[in-house]
Amino acid sequence: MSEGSGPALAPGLPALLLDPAPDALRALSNWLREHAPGLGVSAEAIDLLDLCASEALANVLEHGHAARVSVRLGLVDGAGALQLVDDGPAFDPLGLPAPQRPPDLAHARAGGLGVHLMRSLMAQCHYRRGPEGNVLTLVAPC
Amino acid sequence: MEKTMEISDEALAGGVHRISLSGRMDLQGAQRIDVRLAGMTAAPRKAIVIDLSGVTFLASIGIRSLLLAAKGVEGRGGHVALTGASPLVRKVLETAGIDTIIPLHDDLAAAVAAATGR
Repeated sequence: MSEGSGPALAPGLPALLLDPAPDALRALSNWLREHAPGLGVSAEAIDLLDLCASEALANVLEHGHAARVSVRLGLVDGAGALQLVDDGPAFDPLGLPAPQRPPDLAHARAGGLGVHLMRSLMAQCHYRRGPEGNVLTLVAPC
Repeated sequence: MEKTMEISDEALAGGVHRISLSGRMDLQGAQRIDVRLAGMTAAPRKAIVIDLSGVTFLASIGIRSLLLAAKGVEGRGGHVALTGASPLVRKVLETAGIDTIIPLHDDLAAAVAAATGR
């Protein structure tokens, strides 16, 4: 995983602009599913990107106090990738500790799974804080 | 466009209840079915199979719904088992480690056996 500016997305579609409201989750999913096949992204990679982007956006909705979220879609080394930018206070979801695997149902916690899913299911996750806000890049496995 | 999340239940033999979920189990989907799922898993029911055959997408908020339902049932000495997961939903459940704490079976009969503690 590169540090610094993070992976550059291929130029392509204009960014999707979202208001941070629950409807944004479905809007992002629909936009991704409409445009990613045209970039040659596989159906499985689209499913995983949809899930991980949904988790990332849900985090922004829950914690971010953002006024606007923009999403770009492209390819990184031939793999489908999404970059989410929000203008909320600095918040690195990838800095959260990994949840412990519970020994049984009684000890299971419902929180913290979203970031774990992102880390586990994406080929790359990268966060940086830039002048535009929080920048999270998700790259699907090929 | 993804269809709206739906939930239904059915009594099977032996006091087992099958709860069938369908649709996209994200924030909106989970919010839509949470109250009914809680009601369908409430006392006196103790043996419950949750059929995920119609679930096309499962986010962490949906996992939370499943966990809360299963914890409630187990807290009363009952059991919940999952069945019918698509490859994507199974991958999410396994990645989250849920399959190790709530039994997950492809086969309905095996899920029924797990829900009855056999």
